[in-house]
Amino acid sequence: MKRNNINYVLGAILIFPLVVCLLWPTFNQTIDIDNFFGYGKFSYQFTANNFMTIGSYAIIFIVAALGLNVQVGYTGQLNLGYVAFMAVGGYSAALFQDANRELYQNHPFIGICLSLLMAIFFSGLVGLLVCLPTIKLRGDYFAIVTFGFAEVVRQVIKNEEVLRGSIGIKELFLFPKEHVDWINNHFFSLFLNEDMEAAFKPDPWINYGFFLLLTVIVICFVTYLRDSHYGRMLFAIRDNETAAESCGISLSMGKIYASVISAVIGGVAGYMMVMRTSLAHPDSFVFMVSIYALCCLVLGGIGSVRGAVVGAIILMSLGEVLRDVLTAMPKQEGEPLIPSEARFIMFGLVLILMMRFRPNGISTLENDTLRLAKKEKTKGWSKYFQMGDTDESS
Amino acid sequence: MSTFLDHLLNGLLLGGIFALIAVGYSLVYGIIKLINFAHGEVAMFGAFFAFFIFSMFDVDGDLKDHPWIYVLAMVVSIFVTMGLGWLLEFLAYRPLRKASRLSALITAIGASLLLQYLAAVIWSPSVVSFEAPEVFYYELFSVMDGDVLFEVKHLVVFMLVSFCLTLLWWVVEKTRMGKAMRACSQDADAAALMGININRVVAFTFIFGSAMAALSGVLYGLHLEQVRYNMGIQIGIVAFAAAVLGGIGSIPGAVLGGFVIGFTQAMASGYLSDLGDFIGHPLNSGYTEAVAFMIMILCLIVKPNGLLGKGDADRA
Amino acid sequence: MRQYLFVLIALVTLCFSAPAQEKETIKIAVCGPFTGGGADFGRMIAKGVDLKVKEINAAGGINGQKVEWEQLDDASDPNQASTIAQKAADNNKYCSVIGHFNSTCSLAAKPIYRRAGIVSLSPGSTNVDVCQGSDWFFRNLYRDDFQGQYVASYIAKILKLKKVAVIYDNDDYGKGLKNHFKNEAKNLGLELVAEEAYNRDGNLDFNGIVTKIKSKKPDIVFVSGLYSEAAKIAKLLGRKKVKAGVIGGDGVFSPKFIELAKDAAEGTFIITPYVNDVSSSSKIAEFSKKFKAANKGEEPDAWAALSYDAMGTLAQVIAKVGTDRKAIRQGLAAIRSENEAYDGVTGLTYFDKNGDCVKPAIVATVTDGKFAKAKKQLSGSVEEDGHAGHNHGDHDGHDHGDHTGHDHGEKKQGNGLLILIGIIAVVILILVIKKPKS
Repeated sequence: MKRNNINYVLGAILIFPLVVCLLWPTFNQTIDIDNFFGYGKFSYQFTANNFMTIGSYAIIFIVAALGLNVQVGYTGQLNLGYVAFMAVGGYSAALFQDANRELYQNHPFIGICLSLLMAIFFSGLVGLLVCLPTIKLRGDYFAIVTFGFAEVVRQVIKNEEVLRGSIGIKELFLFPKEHVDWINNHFFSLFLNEDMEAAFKPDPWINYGFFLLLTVIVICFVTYLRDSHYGRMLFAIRDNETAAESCGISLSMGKIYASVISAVIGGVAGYMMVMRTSLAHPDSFVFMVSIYALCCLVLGGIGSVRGAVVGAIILMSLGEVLRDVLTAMPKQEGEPLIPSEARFIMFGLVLILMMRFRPNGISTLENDTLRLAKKEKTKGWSKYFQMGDTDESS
Repeated sequence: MSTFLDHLLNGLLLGGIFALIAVGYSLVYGIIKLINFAHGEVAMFGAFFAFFIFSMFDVDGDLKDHPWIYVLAMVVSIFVTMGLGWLLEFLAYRPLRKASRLSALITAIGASLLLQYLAAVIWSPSVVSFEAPEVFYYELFSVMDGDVLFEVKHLVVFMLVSFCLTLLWWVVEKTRMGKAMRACSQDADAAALMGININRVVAFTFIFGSAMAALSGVLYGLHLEQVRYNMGIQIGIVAFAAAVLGGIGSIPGAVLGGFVIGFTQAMASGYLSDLGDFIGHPLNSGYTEAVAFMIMILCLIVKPNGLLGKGDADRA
Repeated sequence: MRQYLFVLIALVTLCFSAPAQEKETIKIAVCGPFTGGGADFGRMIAKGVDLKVKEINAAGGINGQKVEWEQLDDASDPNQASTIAQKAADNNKYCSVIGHFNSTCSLAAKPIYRRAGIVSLSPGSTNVDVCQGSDWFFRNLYRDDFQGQYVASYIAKILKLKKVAVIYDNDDYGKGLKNHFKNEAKNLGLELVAEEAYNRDGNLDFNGIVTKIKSKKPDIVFVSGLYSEAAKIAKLLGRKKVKAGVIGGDGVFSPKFIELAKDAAEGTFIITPYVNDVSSSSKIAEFSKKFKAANKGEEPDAWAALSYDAMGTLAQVIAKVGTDRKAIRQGLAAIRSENEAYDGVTGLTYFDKNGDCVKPAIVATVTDGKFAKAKKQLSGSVEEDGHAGHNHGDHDGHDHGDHTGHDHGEKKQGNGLLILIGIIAVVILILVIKKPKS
């Protein structure tokens, strides 16, 4: 029963918005502490729309982590420049949308499909471009080259006039306002009553729904890849290149597949990133973004789909919530008590501690050596996580 | 012509700074085959420590005229950063000595993140202004009717850099610890069999590298007259490109690479727009940073061993 | 599976116990760069808004309701601006927004405010496109086409210099201002000897740029960017002994510029919408006195003054129409001429059909470490038709205003919840049925 994993994973993602649906009607909590340890006013408000925005951010990184997983987890090549794929995907879709605004105004669905195609095509192309010269490079060097490449891509985007440079492309929305209003009237209002309606803003919810759809497709795709012979080929390359070659697996083809597939998924993630903030700007594709994806993957477990999902949801949601909380901290002379950059300390610690204590991630709960013995646990959480685990990351 | 000399001077200044940091990368890679991503952050911490000590004394903003405060700050900062380097190795890298390269690399990235944002939280997430001493800008002599100025700043940097490099050469070639380092970089197990304490050697490497990084960090901060928490990535990555260019693992390569990259960066910031006019496509000075990366990528693709490097970078 | 159920039940109880919010005060969101490279702007904006809010509350509030303002930080980053714009728009307690400051951030946030239907009044964005295409974005200072022309005219006619080198920030504001300056400079016969861009977050080493400019021997250097980079450039120009003065746009106008550049700032010209010249009008004198009293003797700058006026304009409109977001927009859009204008410390604030504002510019210089009005100002010889120039006229024709205009009678209160519970039950059933093999 190799497919069981998908059920749990899908269940986990579906529960997320349902929980929010339950919460949101009256969920408008404000934490107002007037004298926060003697420093001043601490006022933090948490609305359900806010929750949706955080959810969108987590979802984007689910896709990004999954894409990175294909290269890092399945093929064993550490790609530090993942953000280049996201940038290319996001920017190609954005440029296309910017050039054809009437199309998007009148036929948004066709527009969305075309954007996705653009994103996939160009990021796949870039994946190919990155992979071809670096096939022979060993792990460390590959990581460095991809890192350099990501920075070069970002600088090119930032400085080229054609790509709008530092100005960025603005006003990129999935659906034009009439469609949003229509969806609001015909769908969301079913769940609303009078006073909920005033507080409800459909945009983040529509974004989330659309991203959810894309994420589910990507998860299914990656799981299918893992279970297919392509996946096995990639695992073979990861485990022992010489042995793989001697079995007749073409190393170059394998690495190219991995790179292109990873890039395609990255392109989708980039598209989602652009749509989330309705803005395509080089600063959203900083090197740090690929480190976030890596952190999510490391936290969840490199090589496992479930790990990518779990890691992304936990880490990115926590990061965003922390940012809001830290910004709400009382201010001394205009400078916040703890700057919101502090949340990245958590990311750094995750990487260091995970690699030290639990290199397989939190989502694979049993010990590495025990897996060989296939010891079945029948109590507690591990019972559920045992399924299909042996098939994932050998 | 005078602008060319001006750029050249600037390039040599930057090159010296990058060379010192690049040496740190090469040293560590030579011994434990780990790319120490956090090295740039160590340099940044050095700059921040110096700034911190300086600002402790500087209560009314006029200490620019007393250069000895700077010297004190620099010295203390070097010692504190040595401690930081040792701590980094002890806590983050030593437990992973036996683990795979991937894990070690990821840990290095994590350490880099952690250090960066620790600095942001402890000091400031925005730019901190670090005033250079007035004496820095005294003109020593000038060439070409005052168009090109050779200032005390240049002299100080050149002297310190040459001193450090000489010290490095002396340590690596003429001392027992240096011999131990060279032995470890050739074959760590055999060195251990010969009775060399690997932990000690690695710790020493980190400490020495961090000291030089601290010095370069302070100099860079004084050169730009500001320190930021993400200064570490900036110089770290450029210096890493330099180390790679020269051949990672090779110390003379790192020095050479440092000067080449520094020189290229200075030239790029000066002549990029002219190059842009030449090829018909506008290149503005934002591309200066990309130049270092491009060089690194090309170098890794074409000749992964770098200019002076040895060893096989291809498989296993 | 039990664990899932427990979590669900806990969350359900939590949600039904949450109380609803009541709006007793008028809340206004102030979005701007409170950290990062523009932090000093944010600081002054906060002070200006705070002063006005305290004044209003001391006088009893607006129609009896107290006013509160909340600070949302965009750190001069358009991505963050987008995020906080969404937050401000989603949160119904804010009836309007004062923001943003950087033109890039305003441009990024503008469509979000338009779609959500909340008004934003910017006290600092000068790019010409900021108010275009949206009925919901206003500003109370001049535009960059006017400013660019002004700079060129000032250099040509008052300073009477010929060769100009331009160093500009590669974002919406810097580039836009540079382009408008360039166009007018061509008309006036100024010679542009160098045009160098820099990126604000990149390697801020201006040595290369300054060296190159030095070789071109300009008479004056025009810095089209923000104060911290301008301060560095000014310092470097002094160090490298470049014999050229500095003239800057409004982004350079900040006390931090003088603090950072120190001696190198002397003699810099800056175009600004407001100078704290207490001798010019009683309003300014009174404002300055109040500001100094509240801020330990610190003098207000242009941004404090503009934010003070922005808050005042909003207060005037809210007093008339209440706190409904749509009504506030209509109220602001109705301020079309000098008769209805808000009379503040920066002059008369009234808007044209785009939301742009007609306000004069003043040239300030740095003398003895403080800002002062330049001795020679440009008289009205500059064409004031900067606004008529860009008249696209194609607002967002699909502006349905706010989206609470549902015309459905079907407020199925109970039904919605039932449907949700049904879906959850189905999902749980599916998960339970697919038991793990053991």
